[in-house]
Amino acid sequence: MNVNFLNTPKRTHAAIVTAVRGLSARMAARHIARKAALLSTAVVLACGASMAQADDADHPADKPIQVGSDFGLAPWMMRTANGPEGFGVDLSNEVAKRIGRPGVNINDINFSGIFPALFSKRIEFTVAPIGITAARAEKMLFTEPIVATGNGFLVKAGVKMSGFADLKGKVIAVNRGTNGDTWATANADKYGFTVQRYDVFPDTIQAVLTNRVFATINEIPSVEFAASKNKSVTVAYEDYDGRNFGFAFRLGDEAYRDKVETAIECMKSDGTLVKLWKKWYGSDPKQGSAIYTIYPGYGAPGMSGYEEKTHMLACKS
Amino acid sequence: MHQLISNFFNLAILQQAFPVLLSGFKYSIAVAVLTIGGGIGFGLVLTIIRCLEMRVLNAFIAFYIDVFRTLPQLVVIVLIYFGMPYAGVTPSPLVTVTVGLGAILSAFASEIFWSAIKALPRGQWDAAYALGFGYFRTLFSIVLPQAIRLAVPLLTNRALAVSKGAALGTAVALPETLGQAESLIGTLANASPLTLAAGFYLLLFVPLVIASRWLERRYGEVSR
Repeated sequence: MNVNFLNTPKRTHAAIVTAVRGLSARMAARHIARKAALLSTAVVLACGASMAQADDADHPADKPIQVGSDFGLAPWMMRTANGPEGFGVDLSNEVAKRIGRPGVNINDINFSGIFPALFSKRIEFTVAPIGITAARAEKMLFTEPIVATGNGFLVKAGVKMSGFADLKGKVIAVNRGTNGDTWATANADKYGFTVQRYDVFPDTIQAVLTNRVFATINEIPSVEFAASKNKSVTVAYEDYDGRNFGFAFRLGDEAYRDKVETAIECMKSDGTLVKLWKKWYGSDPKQGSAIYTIYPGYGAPGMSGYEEKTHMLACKS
Repeated sequence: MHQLISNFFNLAILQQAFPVLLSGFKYSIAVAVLTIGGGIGFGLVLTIIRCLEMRVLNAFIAFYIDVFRTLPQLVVIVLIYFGMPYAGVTPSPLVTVTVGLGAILSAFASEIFWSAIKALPRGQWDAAYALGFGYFRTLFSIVLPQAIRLAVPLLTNRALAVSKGAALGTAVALPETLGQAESLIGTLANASPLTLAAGFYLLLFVPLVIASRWLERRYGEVSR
């Protein structure tokens, strides 16, 4: 006997529909409750697991290291068709090899964005040439000094500068957020110059070339290299003020910082670091400067975040 | 959560950043006002020229509009700032940003006015001619007032979108609010100045948004 559903009397029809709806509602409710229970268990387990592995989650052993740098600073880091290359790239690859990670992924972040990227865990540490200062050391952990630097003044070829007094009445370009920016902002009134701030180093060089500014300030190695590659600009003045570059880590990441620093100290002791410098900068680094010196303890001496733990150098060759 | 507050809403840093950002605020205001005024004004002029129906002029105007509607704002600004010195003219950051954004807004405004004129019923023109009005008298006394009313909501929308490009002035050394904030972020290693810059931008643009809604309500009622 075929019961054609559509031909059943109206009241029966309504009753069947309600019954089916009720049944399916109950089944649906049970189904949802089961799913919710599974989901909440999964969430709780995941939270527990992630809390236990918080450190490893930030530095997963099987993935390439996530680091960040500005790609416009030759020859520390330069953009090419196959990705970045430069002193900083080779340095990061060496570090990755020595701490046992499968490689390095360098994110292109310009200077103003690099600390937010570090604090929001987008990168594990910075590999840009960042000057170690007391103000920054309060907010992040630095490795020991890697390379010495200071303020270098880049001018158009043929222009002379003998001292800061020559800056009076001139315009200076700086790379926003760098130590050059800080120095220029602090000393603009003292020496009587005005400041133009650009987002990246190549723009500051353009400003020099188009006569918008008298000079641009940046880290000494960067300006020396720019001058060696571009005959229209020269380095007019160098001010080695005891500043050094280091890698920056988040506060609380001491163990990881110590691991990376050990790798760097090994590179200093077996001469790899100096060899890389000569390869990219073409000259010998300043004698007795940070690139030759292995500092005791972990971190930058005299800055917050420094630990006096003397440790023996255990290097894999 | 605590991390978020100390990195983006750090009170000590906000206090330190406030006067610095305030000094850049006048540039943001200047760019917004000049861009909107100049852009819409020049756009209207371009549309009126288009109404002359001269083929050569129309071709130039069409080219101008297509170029400036399609190029990204940052590209226009950077090209003017870094390219023009090689042609002998060295525009300052403020002039660069105002001219660049003004050109872009004028291209959009011109298209908006043109489509508003075309959207008016043909009967308006016919009636005016029947009453003995000439072409330009019709245009200025009858058609344009109605067309501008039609165009107001589209214009305010576009004006806000383009004048926000004042923030792109940081790429060409314009010392406005966002640029000052970025400097401080790098120096102080904290992103709170960015939050403060966002607050300043809201302070500048929310009144503009309110004003645009008032304009739309007052003039946008087109009775048919």
